[in-house]
Amino acid sequence: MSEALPDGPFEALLGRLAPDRDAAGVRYEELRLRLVSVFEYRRCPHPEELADETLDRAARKLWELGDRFSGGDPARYVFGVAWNIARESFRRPAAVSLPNGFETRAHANAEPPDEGAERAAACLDRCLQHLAAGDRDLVLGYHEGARGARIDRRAGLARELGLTPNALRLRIHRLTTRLRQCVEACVARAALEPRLT
Amino acid sequence: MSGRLSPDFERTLRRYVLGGLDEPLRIELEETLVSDPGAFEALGVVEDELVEEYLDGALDVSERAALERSFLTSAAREARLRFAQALRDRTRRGAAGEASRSAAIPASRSTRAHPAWLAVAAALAFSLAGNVWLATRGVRPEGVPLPAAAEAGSPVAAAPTPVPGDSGALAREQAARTRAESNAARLELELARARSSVVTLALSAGRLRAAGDSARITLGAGAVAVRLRLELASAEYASYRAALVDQDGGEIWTATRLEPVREGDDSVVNLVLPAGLLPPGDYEIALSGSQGGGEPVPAGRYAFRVAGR
Repeated sequence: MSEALPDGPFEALLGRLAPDRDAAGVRYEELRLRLVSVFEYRRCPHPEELADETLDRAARKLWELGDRFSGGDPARYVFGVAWNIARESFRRPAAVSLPNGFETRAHANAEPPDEGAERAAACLDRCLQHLAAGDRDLVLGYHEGARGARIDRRAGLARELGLTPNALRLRIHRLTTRLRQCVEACVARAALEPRLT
Repeated sequence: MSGRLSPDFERTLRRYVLGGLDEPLRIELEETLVSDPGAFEALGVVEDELVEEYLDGALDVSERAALERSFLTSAAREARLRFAQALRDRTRRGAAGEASRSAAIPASRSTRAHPAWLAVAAALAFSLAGNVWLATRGVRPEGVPLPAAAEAGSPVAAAPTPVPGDSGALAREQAARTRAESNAARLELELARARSSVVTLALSAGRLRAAGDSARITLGAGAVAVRLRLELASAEYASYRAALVDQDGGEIWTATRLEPVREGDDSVVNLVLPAGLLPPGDYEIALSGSQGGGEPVPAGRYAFRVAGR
């Protein structure tokens, strides 16, 4: 084992991702998300577990390599590890679908029909309030109306904000991603409570 | 970052999402997506916009089928579809100055007969071209990717144990909590969606819109798709075309190459429409049939009314 990275495999990987610890944590999660996405496109079963396994294995390898690892950004190395893990996952038994007619307990004790959707809508309202007013208006304005009207409005929004159309698209993507993550977390919390208060 | 959104790269990303890239190019792109955050963000933009086009009904039949087959393959991605629908519902509520949400008609026997995610997956994956309910959702991989050169690791081993006092423990714990919350959210959304996001309506030919004889359907806030079961007087054609006609008589959506199926004693054509196409109002499905590539012949009109959300 290398003496240069004594804090363990996870530290070795974080150290390679960014010198600053917080930034490295963010990059770790981003890298994990990217791996999950690629595993999903490959229809691998359990993509999140595969992404974790990939990062664990890459971290261990980087730790073992220590100073002998000559690459700068380890993401490409991690990508190579991912393929091997993907191939392994193909050889594992596939998930077996439940038979037709099987009814889950959750279904048998179903909530009133629209409760889940109402909860999600309430969470969306709540998460929108967490955005800055300008961002909130931007997201809602961007998605409002019929398709033809939206296209015209978006061109106007880009002009008003002094952004290129592509810069506006990226900004909207980032805002809606944050919003979606907020809603998912809110719904998860609400699911643990009897009612969203 | 926005430099990544070049027309050529966007076209490649779009083909990737729709499952149309050759294997070598696919591998090359996936390596870029993992190692280049800007490229991955561009993929997110393209995915969002394809979902938007899907909800708008702006994709052609083959693209719709490809998106369902290649992208809407997991609960997380279906959650993205629901989120996009919820966001546009929210803009509608805001524009109308109202917050009322009417109750959805629960999905019928198909959602009751399967686990929650299966029912939803089946409804969304319902092929407009082939008209086959997907009773199960395959989780087997499509193709085996080529080996990468970089890996030199050993077989899978246990996850590394954090070193006591490891300052990374907090980051890992936070990541684990985020994942746990995300998993709980997914489960919750799967259940919620199965109950409210696929609405089914059976229609008989000959209902008259003008006579107020329309079947009624109420779409809840979380409705993503509407399944229409069009009963045929007789299955005399091999292939059908369906057009969604609004109250002004304009065609706003069409589906072709629909095949009739037997359901009990009935011959039916099944159709799945994005709920986003159906703001409150009166509609008709104009069905026409053709045999052996011949000219389409009118085969029935099915009127229905969508009540306010």
